[in-house]
Amino acid sequence: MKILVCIKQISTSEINLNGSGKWVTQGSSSSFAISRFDENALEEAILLKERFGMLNTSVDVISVGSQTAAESIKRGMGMGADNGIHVITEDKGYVSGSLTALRVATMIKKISKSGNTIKMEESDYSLCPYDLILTGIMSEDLMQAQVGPMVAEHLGIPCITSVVKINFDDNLNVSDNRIDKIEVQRELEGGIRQNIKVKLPALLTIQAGINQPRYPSLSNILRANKKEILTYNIVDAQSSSSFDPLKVIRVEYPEKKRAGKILNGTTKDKAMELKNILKQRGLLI
Amino acid sequence: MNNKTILVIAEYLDGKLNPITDELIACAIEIKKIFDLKAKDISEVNVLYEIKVIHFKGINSLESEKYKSFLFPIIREINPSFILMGHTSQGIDIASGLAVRIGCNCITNINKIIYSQPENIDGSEGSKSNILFSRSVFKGKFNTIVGVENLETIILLTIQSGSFYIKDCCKEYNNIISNEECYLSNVDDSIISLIEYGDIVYSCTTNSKLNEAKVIVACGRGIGDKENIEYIKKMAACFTGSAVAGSRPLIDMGWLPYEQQVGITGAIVSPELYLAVGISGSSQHIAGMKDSKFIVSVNKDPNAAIFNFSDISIVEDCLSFIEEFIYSKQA
Repeated sequence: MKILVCIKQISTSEINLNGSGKWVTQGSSSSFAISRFDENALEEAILLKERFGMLNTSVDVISVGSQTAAESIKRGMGMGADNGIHVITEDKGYVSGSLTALRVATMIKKISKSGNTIKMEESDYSLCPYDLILTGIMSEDLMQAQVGPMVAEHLGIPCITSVVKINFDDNLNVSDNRIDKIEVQRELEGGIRQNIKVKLPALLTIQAGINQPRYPSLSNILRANKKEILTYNIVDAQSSSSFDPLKVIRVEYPEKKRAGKILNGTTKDKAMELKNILKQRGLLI
Repeated sequence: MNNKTILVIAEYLDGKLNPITDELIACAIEIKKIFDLKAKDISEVNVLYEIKVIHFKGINSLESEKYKSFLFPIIREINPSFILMGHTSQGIDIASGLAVRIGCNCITNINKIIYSQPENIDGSEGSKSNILFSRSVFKGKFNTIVGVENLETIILLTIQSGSFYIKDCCKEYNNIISNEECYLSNVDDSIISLIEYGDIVYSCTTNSKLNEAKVIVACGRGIGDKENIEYIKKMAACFTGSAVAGSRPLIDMGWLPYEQQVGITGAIVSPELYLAVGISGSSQHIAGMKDSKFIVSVNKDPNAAIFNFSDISIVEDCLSFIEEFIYSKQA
């Protein structure tokens, strides 16, 4: 079974408005992480690989982003992914989901896999080279929740969003060394869930809480360091950022919905004042 | 007269109209107002925007692949300027894929529609349209204001719940809103055969404990460690009729049981006092607690989004503040 996980690197340092108010700046100590939901998607893929090792299951990880994204791809390989694919972009700031989805899908269409090796074809591959594509329900920073469903649509495969459970065991239809159909549960509002069966290839977007992502193991890190990430530049004009139909005009703080009286003084002063406010309102005896 | 359509897709669950639909209509009215205003400005009266609300019948809207295939030709036929859907689990499952199929612009999780003078934004990188869209980013800390270059292409928007309200002034628009029912016909699309939608499962999250509590002390990732939940419990013990709750990331990490989650995917609460400790205030959490009678928040980031929804804002390290509060209460 061939699995692909799409991950995004996000900044974990403090974020502030930049001088012009047109975008944000990151704190001086630039630190990065894999967006939380994508990390859940990666963990789920590795759990599947461990469970279906007998089906020659492989996990590849792809990321579209700046040079630093390589660090997150390496981390993914450290968690247990077999191959890393990096589509390098020079974009600063906001990138719409439709542009990222187009870039990911364009790349996937060129991939052909033989065994555990990735090759890039000149022309588009007619069939989806992966049985299962996983990604997070949304990125932690831009929260668009677009890339997964859009990639699926470009590839012409079914998509299920907000998946909270992948059923490993029930009536798995295994033929030709691949699983034919899987059963998943997706989450709706207010604790409601929906059971769905889907034929592969399919794309699932993963909701947090499905698993606890592991830390990279030392042996995997050593293995990942020996292995090169496959890197590609954006060459397709259509996927250049000037084609992004969405333009960011500015960034601003949201308006206050309530007074938000700020308590001043020392920690002790604030604690005393809160105590008095709550007593006056009869909330504290 | 050149009519343009703002298309609202009414959302249903279990045959019942979802309240998000009212918000979609309120948002559609705001969009219409902007174009009416623009028409007045430039005496351009030959474009009239009408609002059409479509109610799809005979189809389970939770069967997203089928729903998409069904919606596609209808949208082609109507050729609206705007399509509005909820940024709900249904909207997320349908909208983005549908936008690719239509080949239209897609902006998700909108919380505000903004009228803009074109000269303000008419720069080399700016948008030339009068209408801008605000969407929440970075866990609700900021809104990004975005525009599109070309209003000739359909724009599909998904709307963040709790952002738009039907106000009294909307009543005057009642006569320009048309409701239409649409029945499912057979859709010929091979993708439908690949997916089998099953039962709906109700997990027991609508628990009475949080709903009955007069005071809820809720914690988020800002408390740092699982062990620090003890502080939250001690804080809650200061109040009678209190309960401990958590934000989603904390539940996902297994620090608190699922029943104690406040937010759109957990419990929706409105206690006398909601005390948010170390919670950044993502829209998913806000949706679960914004109707609380009195909201006090403690967070060390002065720009945390939760402070926009608080009556009292305390910028402090969570744990030191709790220690001091408990001490002051005993004093």
